[in-house]
Amino acid sequence: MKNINDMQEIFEPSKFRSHIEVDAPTTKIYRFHGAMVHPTGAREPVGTENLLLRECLLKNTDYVEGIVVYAGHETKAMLNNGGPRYKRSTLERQMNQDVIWCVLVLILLCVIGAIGCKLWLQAYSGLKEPYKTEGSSDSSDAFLAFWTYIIILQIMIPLSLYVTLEMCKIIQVYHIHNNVDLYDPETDKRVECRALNITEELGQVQYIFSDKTGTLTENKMIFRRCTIAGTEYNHPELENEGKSSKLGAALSIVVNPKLVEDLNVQGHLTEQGYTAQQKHAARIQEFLLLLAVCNTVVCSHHPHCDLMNSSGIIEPAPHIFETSSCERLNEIDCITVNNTECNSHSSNDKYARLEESRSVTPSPPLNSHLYSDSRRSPHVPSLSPITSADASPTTEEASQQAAVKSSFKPKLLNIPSLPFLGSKRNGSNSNLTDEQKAKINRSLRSTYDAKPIFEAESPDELALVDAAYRYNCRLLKRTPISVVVDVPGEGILDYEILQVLPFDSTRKCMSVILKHPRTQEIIVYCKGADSAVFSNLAPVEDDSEQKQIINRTQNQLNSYASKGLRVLVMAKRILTLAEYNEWYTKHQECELLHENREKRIQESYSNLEKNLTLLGATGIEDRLQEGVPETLASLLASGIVVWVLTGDKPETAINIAYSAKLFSSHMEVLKIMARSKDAAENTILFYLSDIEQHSDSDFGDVNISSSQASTSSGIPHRRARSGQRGRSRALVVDGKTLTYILDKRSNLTLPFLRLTTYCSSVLCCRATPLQKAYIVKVVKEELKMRTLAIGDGANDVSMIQTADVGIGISGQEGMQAVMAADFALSRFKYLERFLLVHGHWSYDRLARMVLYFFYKNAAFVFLIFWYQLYCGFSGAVMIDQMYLMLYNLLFTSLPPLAIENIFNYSYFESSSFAVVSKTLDKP
Amino acid sequence: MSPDSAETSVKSKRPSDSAFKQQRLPAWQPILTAGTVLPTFFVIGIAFIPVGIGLLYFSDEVKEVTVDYTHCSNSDGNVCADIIAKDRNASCNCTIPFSLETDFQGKVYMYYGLSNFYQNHRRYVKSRDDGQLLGRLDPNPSSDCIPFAFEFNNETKQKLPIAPCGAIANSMFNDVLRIYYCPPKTTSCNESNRVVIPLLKKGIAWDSDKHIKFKNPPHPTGDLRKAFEGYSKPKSWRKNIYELDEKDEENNGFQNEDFIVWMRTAALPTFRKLYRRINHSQTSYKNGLMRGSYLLEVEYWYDVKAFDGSKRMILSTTSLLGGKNPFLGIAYIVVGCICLLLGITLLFIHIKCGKSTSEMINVNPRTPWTPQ
Repeated sequence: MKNINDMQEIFEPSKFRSHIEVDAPTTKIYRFHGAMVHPTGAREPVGTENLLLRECLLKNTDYVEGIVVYAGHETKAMLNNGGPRYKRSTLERQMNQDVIWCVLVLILLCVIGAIGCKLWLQAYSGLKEPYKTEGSSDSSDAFLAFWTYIIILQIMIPLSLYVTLEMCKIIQVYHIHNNVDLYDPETDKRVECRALNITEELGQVQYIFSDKTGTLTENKMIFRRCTIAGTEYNHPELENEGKSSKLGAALSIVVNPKLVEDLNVQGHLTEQGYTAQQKHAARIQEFLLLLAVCNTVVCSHHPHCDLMNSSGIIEPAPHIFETSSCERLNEIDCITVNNTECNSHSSNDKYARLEESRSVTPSPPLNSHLYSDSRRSPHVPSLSPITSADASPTTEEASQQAAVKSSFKPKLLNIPSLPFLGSKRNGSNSNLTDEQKAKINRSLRSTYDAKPIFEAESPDELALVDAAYRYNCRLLKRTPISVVVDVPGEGILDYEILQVLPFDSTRKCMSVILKHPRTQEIIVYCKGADSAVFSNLAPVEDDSEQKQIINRTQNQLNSYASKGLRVLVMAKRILTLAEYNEWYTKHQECELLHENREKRIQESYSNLEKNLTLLGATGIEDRLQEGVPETLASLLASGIVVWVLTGDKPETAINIAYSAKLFSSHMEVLKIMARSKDAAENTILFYLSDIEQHSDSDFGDVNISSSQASTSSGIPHRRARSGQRGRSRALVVDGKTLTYILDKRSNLTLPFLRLTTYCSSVLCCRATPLQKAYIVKVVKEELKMRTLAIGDGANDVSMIQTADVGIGISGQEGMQAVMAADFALSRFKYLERFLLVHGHWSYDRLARMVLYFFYKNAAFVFLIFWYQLYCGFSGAVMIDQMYLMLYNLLFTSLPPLAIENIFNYSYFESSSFAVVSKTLDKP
Repeated sequence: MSPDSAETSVKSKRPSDSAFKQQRLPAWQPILTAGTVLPTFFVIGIAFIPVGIGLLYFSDEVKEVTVDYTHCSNSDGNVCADIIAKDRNASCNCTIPFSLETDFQGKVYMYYGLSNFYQNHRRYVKSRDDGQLLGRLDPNPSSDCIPFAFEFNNETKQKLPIAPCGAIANSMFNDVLRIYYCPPKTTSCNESNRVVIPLLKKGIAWDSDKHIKFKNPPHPTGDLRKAFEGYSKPKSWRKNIYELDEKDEENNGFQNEDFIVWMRTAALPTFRKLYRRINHSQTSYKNGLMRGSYLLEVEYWYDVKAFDGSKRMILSTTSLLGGKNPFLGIAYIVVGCICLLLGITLLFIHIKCGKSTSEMINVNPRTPWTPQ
C-alpha cells in the first residue's frame, strides 16, 4: 500500500482509524479485493498484492506489519482445506459392493437357517424340551433362530477388513516413503505421501495428465536466442552446460559477439542524426532495457539475514561481525541521506519500539538499545525506503546517490567488514571524514561490480534479466516504486515505476509503466506470448520498415518454436502524460469496483497494452528433465495413455513431445487446430471416420456402428487396444479448439474423447488451468478411466485435485501443487518406478488381501452353516467360543498383513515392468 | 546440493538401504510352469495311491457287526418300543440272535448307537451344569439346566434340585445290553446253554473326563447316598445317580463311566458311544471273539420312537487308525488317481502345444500380445 505510509509514519494499531471492506471469505486463493475507507472518506483499493496468505514465508524482508483480515476458519488456507481429503479408491468402492453382497449372503443364509429350523421342528410332532421351548410356536422359534444365525454368522461381514486394509496401506506408504530409488539426492527429498489411502490406485492408472513446464522439463530457463528488430542473435549451448546445470550451478550464456558489436555502435553517437546502425543499436539498447526492467525480479546484493528471531523479537545479529555490519548500514544510511540528521534516521529506535510493544515476551537486552535512546526520532517506514521526494533526482550524482542509498536500505548486508568500521563501532557515527565517505562510496561501487542475486517468481524472468546483465544492462535495484538500472552509455538510471500490470493467463502478457528519469517520457514496456502481443501491435503500413521487422520476427519465432524454445515477444508504447492520466483515473475506478472487478481490471490492462511497437523476441530453452524420455516411453509401453497439457505454442510443444519420446517418428500425428466450432467438428469427425474405417477393415467384426458406445466404459477401451495394435497415433489439440470441444453446447466432447481413445498420447497446447482440470474431469467421468495428474505449479492445482490421483512435483514453482497433491515426487522420472512398481505392488497385494479376507470369512461361515444341516438348524456351533472369537483377531490377522504385504516380494523387480504391462492390458 | 554432501551430511533424508525398507527380504514365489507342475502331479499321484491302499487295508482289517434292535420284540411277541411307549416304567426284555462271520481278533469293543438323536442341538448341548458335575452341589443348579433343574415332589410338596441336572443327563441312555455266546451245534440258544461273555464297565471314558471333569460330591462319611441327600434324580431316570453302579464305588455317582460317556455329547445326530469292553483276560476270549452265533439280550428302557430314532449294538475291533473308516483311504486313492490323470493329460497337452520355459519367462513389454 503506497499511500498508507504518507498518512501515518508509524503504524500504530491504536491510531488506526480506517475501515477495511473486503469480500466475504472465499476459497479462491488468488482473488481478494476490497477497499480501505479512511476517516476522511477516501477509498483506497486493496487487492491480492496486499494480501499475505497463511503459511506464506517472508523473503528478503525482516518483518511486515499488517492487519488480519481473515482469521481462523475463514482463512483461505482453511477454506481450501476441505477437511481431511478422502479420495476413495476404486478398489475400496468395489470392496464396499462386495461387502454389501456379503450382507445379502448373510441374510440369505439366516433366512434359510430360520426356515430350516421351522421345518425341522415341524418334522417331529412330539418334540419337547430342550428342543423346543414350552408354549411357543414353531414360527416364533424360527424367528429367534434367525437372529441366532445373524449372531453366529456375522463373521461373514469382514469388519476387520477395513482396519487391516488401512494398516496395509500405511505399511505400503511407509515402504514407498522409504524407497531409496525414489530419493532425490540433489534436493534431499524423498517421495512424500500426503494421502494414505489411495496407494493401490497408482497401479490402476490408465490416463496420465502431465503438465509440461517444470514437470517434464527442468524449469531452468536458458536464454538461447533473441531477435531484435528483425536481426537474430544466437547463444549456442556450452559444452559443459549439461553437467553444470545438474549440479545446480547458475546457468550462464555465452555473449554473442555480433550483438555486442551492434550495441557498441551507439558509443559513437554523433550529432548528425541516427544512422541505420545507430538506430538499430538504440533498439537493442531498449530491448535489453526491457529485458532488465519488465519483470518482477527482486535483486539483492547479498543473501538476506533476518533480524527477527523465531519468537518475533527483533534482535541484533548474534555475533560481533554481523552486528558491526548491521550498524554500519545505519551509518551508511546516515551518511547518504543526510549527515546532520543521522541520529534521527537511524532505524534502531524502531526496533526498540517493537521491543517495548512486545514487553510481555522476555527479550534479551539489545546492544543497540544502549544508545538508541539518544536517537529517538520519527520513524522511517522500512517497507518503502525511498520517499517520493528522493525519487526523481535531476543530476547524475543525485541519481547515483539515490541508487546507493536505496541499494543499501536492506538492513543487513554481509560485506566483509571494513577495518575502519570495526574501530568506529562504539564511537560517534555522525562525524565521518571525507576520506571515509570516499571509502564507503568505493565499497558501494565494488558491490555493484559483483553480480547481484536475482530472485524471480518465474525462471523465465530470471533468464531474461540474466541475459540483459550479460550485455551490461544491469538491473541493480527494484522497489515497488522505482527500478534502478545500469545502462551502458547512460550510466545508472532510476526509473519511476508508475504501474505494474501483472501477468495473467488470459492476457498472457505483463507490462510495466515507467517514467524515464531524464526525458520524463512515460513508457509502457510489455512482454508476453506472441499471440497476445502481435495482435496488439500498432497498425503499420504494408511496406514500412516496421512491417518488415514484424514479418521477419514472426518467421524467426516460428523457427524458435520448431526448435522447442519458449517464445516471448517484447514491445513498447510511449504514452503522453494526458493519456496516462486518463487511463489511470479509469483504472482507479475499476479497482474500486466490487462486481466484476477482476474482469474490469483486466480489460483496463488490455486497453493500455495496445498500439504497441515491436522491439524483439526471445527464445528460451527449457531443458527436459533427466530420464523423462525413458519414463514416458515405458509408461506408454505399459499401455498408459499420456496427455500433456501445456500453455506453450503448438510448435514448441510438439517439439518437446518428440524429444520427450511422447511422440515417435512412426506415430501418426493428428492435429486439430480449428478456428471455429464447425471446423473443429469437421476435423474430429473426419479423423474418426478415417480411423474407424481402418480399424474396421483391420479387425473385421468390431462393431462400431453405435455412436453412443463411447459412453460405456468397456467398448472404447477395446477400441483403444485395437487402435494401438494398428498404427499408433498421437493427437495435438490447441487451446482454442479445446474451448469449442469442452463447450457443453457443442456436443463435441464425446466424439473428441472417442477420437482420443485411438491415440496413445495427446498433446493439448495453449491450455488454461481451468481447461486442464476440465479435460481431466471429462475423461474421468465420460471414459470412466482412472486418471492421474502430475504438475508442479499453481496452475496445475485444479487439475491435480480433479484427478483420481494427484501428484505434485516439488520443483521450482512453489508448494501449491504439492499441497494439493496426494503424492509429491521430486522428479518426473520417479513416476515410472512409482507407478509401475509400487503402484502395481500396492494394487496387487491389496487386491489379493481383500480376496483372501473374503475367502477366509466365507470359508468359516459356510462351514458353520453346513453344520446346521446336522444339528437341526439349532444354531449350534461346533467350534469353541474362544476359537470363534479369536478367528479373525489372532488366527487369520497376520497372513493378510504380513504375507500379503511385507514379505510377499512379488515378482523379481526388473520383470515387474513387463508384468505390469501385461496386467494393464486386461480391460 | 551434490550427491556426496547429501550422503555425508547427518540430516540427509536418504532412506536407509536395509532389506526390509527396500522390500528385499528373501521370498519364494513359485512360477508354475510345465516343468514344475507336471512332476508335482505325478509325485502326488504316485504317493497318494499307495497311502490310500494302506489306509483302506487297515480299515478293512477292522471287523464290525451291527445289530439294530429298535423294533425288537419280547418273548411274547410284543414290540418293546410299543410297550414302553404306553408305560414308561414297564419292563421289556428282548433277545436278538446274531452271528459273527469271521473271528474278531484282538480287542473287541461294544458300542451302542443311536440315530436321529440330536445331541448336538444348541439348546441340548448347553443344558448341563459343569459345576455340579465337578461335585460342587448347589441347591440352585445352573440356569442352563432349566427346565431340568428342579423336581417337584408331590409327596413332600417340595421343590428339589436335580442332580445331575439338565437335558443331557436327563436323556441318558439306559438300556442294558448283554451278549451271549451260543455254542455251535445247538439248535436253539437258550438260557441253559448260552455262555455269558464277560464285559468290562470301566475304561470306556476318557481319563481326563473321569479324573478331572467329573467328581463326586464329598461327604464326611464317604457315603454317596448321603452326599446326594436333598437332590432328586432326573425326571426320566429309573435309578438315582448314586445307584448307577452300587458294586463299584469308583464307578458310581458322577464318576460312573456310562454317565461320563453320555455326557460327552456327540457331534452328529447319528452316533455311537462305547458301552463295554470285552474282558479278554478270560482264556476263551483271549484272542477276541470267535466266529459263531451270538445272542444279544436287551433290557429295553430307552424310548427312541418319539424322535423317529433307531438303536443298535455294535461289536468292533480296532486297528492302528482307530475304528472302521474306509473314507480316508478312498479319498486318498481318488485324489491320487485324479492327479495322475491330470498329469498325463497336461503332459500330453504340453508335448502337443507347449512353450518352453524360457519363452514363458522372457516376456517383455514388446512381446506381441496374442489372444488365446
